[in-house]
Amino acid sequence: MADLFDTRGVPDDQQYWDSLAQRVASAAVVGAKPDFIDWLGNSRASWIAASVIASLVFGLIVAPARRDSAPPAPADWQNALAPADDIAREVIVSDTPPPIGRLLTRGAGEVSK
Amino acid sequence: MSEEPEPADAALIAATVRGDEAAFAVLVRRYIRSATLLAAQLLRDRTEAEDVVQESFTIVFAKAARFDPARPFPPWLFAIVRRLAQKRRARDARRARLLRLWTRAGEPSITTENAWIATRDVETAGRAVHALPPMQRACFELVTMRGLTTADVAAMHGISESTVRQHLFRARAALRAKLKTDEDDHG
Repeated sequence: MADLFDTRGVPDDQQYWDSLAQRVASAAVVGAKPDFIDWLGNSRASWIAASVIASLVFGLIVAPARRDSAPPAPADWQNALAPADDIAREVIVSDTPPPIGRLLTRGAGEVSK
Repeated sequence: MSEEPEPADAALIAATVRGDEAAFAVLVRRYIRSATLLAAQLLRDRTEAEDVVQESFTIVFAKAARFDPARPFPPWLFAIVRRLAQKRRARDARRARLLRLWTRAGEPSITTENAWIATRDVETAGRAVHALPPMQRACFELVTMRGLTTADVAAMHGISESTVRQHLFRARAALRAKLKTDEDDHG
């Protein structure tokens, strides 16, 4: 009679239930422990870490392109880093050497100050 | 010497939350039979039923901390089993539809099982059983054939105990009537 029902394939003996319970319990314990992929998918820390890594990678890709397209102006740097006194500034900043007369007169003026 | 009382479900769940795998194994042993029979009723396949029960207990172990100890455990477990079985049935139905689109299979065939059910008595009983509405058949099977209590079956199928008794009463009446009619017809 049991063969006529939907559970006909399920044997009803204690040995079957014991072995099934043992198998199910141990597999459930293993299956429920999150592995690295699950951790990556579910943990907030992993999402933050992934965002930081993505930002870094993006930065590394974009930065050289930026450097190529807009290199820093050497003149600006030279102006910014040039010494404060007029003579040294003129020597460093100017592409051509200053006339010697101007250096002498300006230098003499500055020295006389 | 008195026997030690069986630990309550709530105590076993609390121990499971603390990572006590032995307590979880006791819980599995306690409900493996009813959970498997329920899944088998819903899926009509032993292997699929075992898979669903496996998945269900994995969820129970992983989400044990979310279980409300003020409520009974069986309805929670059986609701998980039912949900997973329904999902699997829907998936199988989709696959079968796709298969039908690509092949001309799906027509009923004469299986060895069909050939085996060839004697008149089995045929008669089979007709009577399969004429029952699904829930009547499910309740009758679990209580009469598998010896579960009406309370167990109520929890398994998510219905009230009185509804289970009603299904049982109607199933028995229908089976008696059907078998009697058949007997009368065949003298």
